[in-house]
Amino acid sequence: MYWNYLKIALRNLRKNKLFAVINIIGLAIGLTIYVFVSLLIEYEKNHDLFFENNENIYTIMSVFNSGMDLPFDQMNSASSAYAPIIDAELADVESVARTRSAKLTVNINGNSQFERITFADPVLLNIFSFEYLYGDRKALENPDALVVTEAAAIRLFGTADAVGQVVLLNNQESFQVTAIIKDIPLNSHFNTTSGKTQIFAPIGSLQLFTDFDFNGRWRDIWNGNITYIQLPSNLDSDWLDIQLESIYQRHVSDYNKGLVSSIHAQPLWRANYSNWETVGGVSIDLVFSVLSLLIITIACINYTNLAAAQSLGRSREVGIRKTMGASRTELLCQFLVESILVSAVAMIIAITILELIIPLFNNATNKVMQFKYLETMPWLLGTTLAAGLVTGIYPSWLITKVTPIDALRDVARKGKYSTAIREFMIGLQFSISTFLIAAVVVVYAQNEKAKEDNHLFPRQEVYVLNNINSNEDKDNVDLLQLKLDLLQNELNAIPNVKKVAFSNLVPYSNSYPTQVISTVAGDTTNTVKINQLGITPSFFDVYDIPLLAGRHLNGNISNDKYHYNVSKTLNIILNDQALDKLGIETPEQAINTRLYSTKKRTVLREYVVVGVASMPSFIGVTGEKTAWFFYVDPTSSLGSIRFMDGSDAAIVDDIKSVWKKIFPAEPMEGEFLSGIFNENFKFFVFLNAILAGFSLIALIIAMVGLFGLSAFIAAQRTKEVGMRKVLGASSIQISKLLIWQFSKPVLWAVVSALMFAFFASNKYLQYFSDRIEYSILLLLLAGIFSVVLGWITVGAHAYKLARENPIIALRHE
Amino acid sequence: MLKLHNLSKVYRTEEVETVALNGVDIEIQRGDFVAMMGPSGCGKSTLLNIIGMLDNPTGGDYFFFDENIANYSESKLSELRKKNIGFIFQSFNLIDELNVQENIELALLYHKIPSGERKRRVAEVMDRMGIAHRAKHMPGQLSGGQQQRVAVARAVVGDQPLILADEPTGNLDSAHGQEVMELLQSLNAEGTTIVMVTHSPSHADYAKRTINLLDGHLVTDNIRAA
Repeated sequence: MYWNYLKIALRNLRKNKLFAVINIIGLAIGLTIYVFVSLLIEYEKNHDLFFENNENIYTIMSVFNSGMDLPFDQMNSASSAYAPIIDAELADVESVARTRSAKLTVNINGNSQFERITFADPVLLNIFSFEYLYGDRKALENPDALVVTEAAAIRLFGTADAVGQVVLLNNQESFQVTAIIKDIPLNSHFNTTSGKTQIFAPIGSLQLFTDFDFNGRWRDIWNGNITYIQLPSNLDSDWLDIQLESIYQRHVSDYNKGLVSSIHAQPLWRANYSNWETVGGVSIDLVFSVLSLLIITIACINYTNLAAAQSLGRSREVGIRKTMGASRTELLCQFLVESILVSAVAMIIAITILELIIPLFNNATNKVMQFKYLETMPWLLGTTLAAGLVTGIYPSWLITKVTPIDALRDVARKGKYSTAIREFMIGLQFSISTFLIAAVVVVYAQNEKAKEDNHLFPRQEVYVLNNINSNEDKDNVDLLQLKLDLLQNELNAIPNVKKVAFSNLVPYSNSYPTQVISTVAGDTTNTVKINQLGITPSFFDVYDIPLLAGRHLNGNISNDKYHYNVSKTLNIILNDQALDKLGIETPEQAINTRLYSTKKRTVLREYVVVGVASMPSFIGVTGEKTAWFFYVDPTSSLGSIRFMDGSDAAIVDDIKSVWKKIFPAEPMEGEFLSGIFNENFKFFVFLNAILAGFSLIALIIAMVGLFGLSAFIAAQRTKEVGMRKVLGASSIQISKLLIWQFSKPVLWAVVSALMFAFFASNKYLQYFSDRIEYSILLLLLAGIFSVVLGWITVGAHAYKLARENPIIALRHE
Repeated sequence: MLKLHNLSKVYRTEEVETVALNGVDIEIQRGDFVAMMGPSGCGKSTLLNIIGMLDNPTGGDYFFFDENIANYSESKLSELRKKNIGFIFQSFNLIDELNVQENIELALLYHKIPSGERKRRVAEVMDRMGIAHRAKHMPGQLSGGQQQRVAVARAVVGDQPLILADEPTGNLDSAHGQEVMELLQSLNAEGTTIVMVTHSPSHADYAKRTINLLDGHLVTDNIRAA
C-alpha cells in the first residue's frame, strides 16, 4: 500500500512540475539554513573534544558584579590567585594550571617581531594531551623553556625540528625551545577569532617581564587569562562548584568581591562557547537560531500553503479512494507519506548544498566545521520527518475531511474552503519577510550613520603606533619622556606629518580605565565614575578636540604631568559629559574645581580642573557618550600621527625609518585609525550582513510561494474570469480583482510586521547614542517595498489570465 | 438486501430549502437489477448516493441487511461500503495518475488483501473485461468505452454483492453503451445485485425492475416479467 502511495506521490510531483519545484526548492532552502545554523551552533558548542579526558577538564568562569557597569556579565577567566589556593586546599583535584598571555618581541638571530606568548603553569601539558613531534610533557619545567607549535616553528625557524633553538624575548631574556607540538586543531578554544595559541612559556618567567606574582593576583581577569582544573573522573562540576564557592567566600576580600560576584566551574567544551557569549553584547547564537527558525517557518508555511491549494485539486482522487473504502486515517497516511517524501527530497538537496557551502564557509571563517553523517543521521531523519509532518498535516487534514460525495463533485475546489487559514499563512509568511527587510534597512541606515558620526575623529588621516617604550622601565619617567620627545620631533620632521601626540588610548578602543571620583576629599559615598585618558598635550590638536574653557595642559608645568606613585595633585581637563555627571553647569564654572580620587591603597590624589574640552564620544563605535578627564601621562604607549590627507601610502615607510632610529631593537607595530575603527565595527557590519542574507532568502521563499499560490488561485478562478470577461470586464479590472484577493493578507501582514520591526529596531538603536530619527520612514519604505513586490508577483499571473481568450477560460473545468 | 423507509433528503442553504427526496420507500432484494429513471433533478442520483452510503439521508430509515444505517458515521459507513458496494460513475472517475491495472487494484487496496492475491484478481477481471492488453495504459490513453470497462472492472474486482451505477452509459456512444449494459446484465446473471440510474429507456430495458422518480417521489415501480 505504501508503494502505491509513493508511486502516486511521485507521479503527482511529475504532473505538477512547477509546484513540485517551488515546493521542494523552498523547503530545501529552509532546511539548508536550518541545518547549517544548527551545525554551526553545534560546532561552536563542541570544541576541544579531541583532548583526552576533556570531560574532566574545567575552567573557572568569573561573574562580574553588575554594579561595575562592565560591557559583559561574565568571562571565562579567573584571578591567577585561585590556582595556588586550589592546589593547596583541594587534594582531590588532579591538576590546576593557569595561562596568562602577553605580547612580547621575539628576537631570532637579530630579527625581531611581536608574538603572543601564552605563559602557563608547566602542569598544563599534563592536562592537555597535545601531540609531541619533539620533546614531551615535561617541556615547560625549565624556567627558560618554550613550547612551540609546528606551524609557529616553521614560521619562526624555518623548520619544525626547532628543539634547542634560542630566542631573545623582549630583547632581554634567552629562552630555549624544548618541545614542538602538532598544531592545535582549529576547533579548540586555544584558537579564537582574536588569535591562535602557538607559543607556550612557563608562567614563572612572566615575572621577568611584568610584575606578575607567582602566587597570583586578584584582579587580573581578562580574556585568555584562564585557569584550568582537571578532576578525577569520579568528581563532577557540581562538586567543583561547591569547592570554588567555598574558596571564593573564604579567600576573596570584600574589595575584590565588588568586582567579581561569584565564580563557577565550566566544562571545557563551553570555553569556546563563552567567547561567543562575551563578545558583541548580543548572543550571536540566539540571533542565528531565531533567524533560522524564522526561515524554516517561512519555508514550512510556504509548503503547507501550496500543498493545501494543490491538494484541493486532488479531491476527486480522494472521493474515489473513499468510495473504494479508504478510511480517513489511510488517506491521511497517504498524504503525509507524500509530504515526507517531498521533505526527504528537499533534505537531500539541502545536504548537497551544505556539502558545497561548508568548505567555502570554513575557508572564509577559518573553521573546521564538518558534516558527520553518521552522527547527525538520526537528527537529520528526525528533522526530515518532522518537516514532512508539520508541513503535511494541514493539507492532508483539509483534503480528507470532505465527504466522498462532495469530494467527487469537487466541491472543495470550487467552494471558499479555508480561505481564512490560507490567508493567515500567506500573511504570516509575508510578515516574517517584511520584518526582516525592515530590520535590514534600519540596521544598515544606523550603521551608516554611526560610520558618519565617527568622522568626529579624522580617522582617514591618523596612523596609530603601538608598543612605544615597551622595553623601557616604566618608573623612569624622565627617560620615557625623553624618548617620546625624540620620537615626536623625528616624526614631525616627516614632510606630510601635521601633528603627533601620545596617549594610552586611541579612539574606538573598547577597554578603558575608570576613576571613582568625589568632589569632597575622603567622601566615598557621593561619587561619580569618570574614565581617564592619559595623553600628551598635542592630543587635542591631532584629534581636533576643541577647548571650551580654561587652558591646555602643558608638559612643562609640574602639576600637569602625572608621576606614578609621586603625583599628589594633578591638573586635568574634563570633557563636557564629565561636567554633566558632576553637575557643573557651564565650562567656566568648572575651572579650578577640585576633585578627589576615592581609590583605596593609593595616596590620596587631588585633581584640579584647568580646562574643559568637547569630546562627546571616544570608546567603541556606537558613539557612546561618556565622561572623561585628560591628564598628561609620559608612560603613554600609543602614538597618534596626523598626516596630510591622501599621503597615507608613503607615510608608513617614513614612520618606520624614524622608529628604527629610536627603537632599533624593537619591531614597529601600527595601523591606520580607520583600520581600528573597521575592526571594532566589524560586529555591526557582520550583523547586518547576516540579517541581509537571511532576509533575502526569506523574501525569495515568500515570493516564490506567493507566485505559486497566485498561479494556483488564478487557475481556480479561470472560469469566473471567463464569465466576467463575457460580461464585459476589462483586463485591468480582472487584474485588480485578483491582486485584491492577495492584498488583504499582505496588508495586515505588513502592518503587523512593521510593528514588530519597530520594537526590534528600537532595541538595536539603543546600542547607539546618536540614532537615526527617520526609522519609522524606513520601516514604511520596507513595507511598501514588500507590498509592491507582492503585487508584481501576483499581478503577473493576473495579467496573463486576464488577457486570455474568454472561451478558453470558460472551457476550463 | 436493503430497505428504505420514508427516506427523505433536504438540502438547506441559508435561504432556500430544496427537497431532493420526500418519503421514499423501496425494498431491493438480492439478485435484483434495478433501473432508476426520471427527469433531471428528480432525486435519482441523490437516492443512489444514499443507497451507496456516500451521503446521509435527512430523515427516514435505511436498513442494510436489517441494520438501520441511516445515522451511521462516515467511518462506519466506509467499512460497510468497502465490503458490500462497488461503484460505476458516468464520468468513469478513474485516477489519472494510475494506470489501468493500478486503478482496478485500488478497489482491493483498502481490503487487507496480500499483493499477490490482488494482482491475480486484477489480472482475472481484466481478462474478463477484455482490457488485459491495456493494463499498463493510463486512463487518458483510452477511449470512453474502454475507460468505462476499467471502471466496471474496478467495481467488480472486490466481489461486492451490490453494484451501483450512476448513468454508466451517459458519456458513451450507443455501441459502447450497449456493451457496458451487456456486461452489467451478465454480472447480474452471476448473482450481483445492481442498481443503476439511467436516462435511456432502452438501457433501462436491460434491468429486471424499473423505478420512476419525480420531484423526490417514487412514481412507479415496475417489475418486468421475466
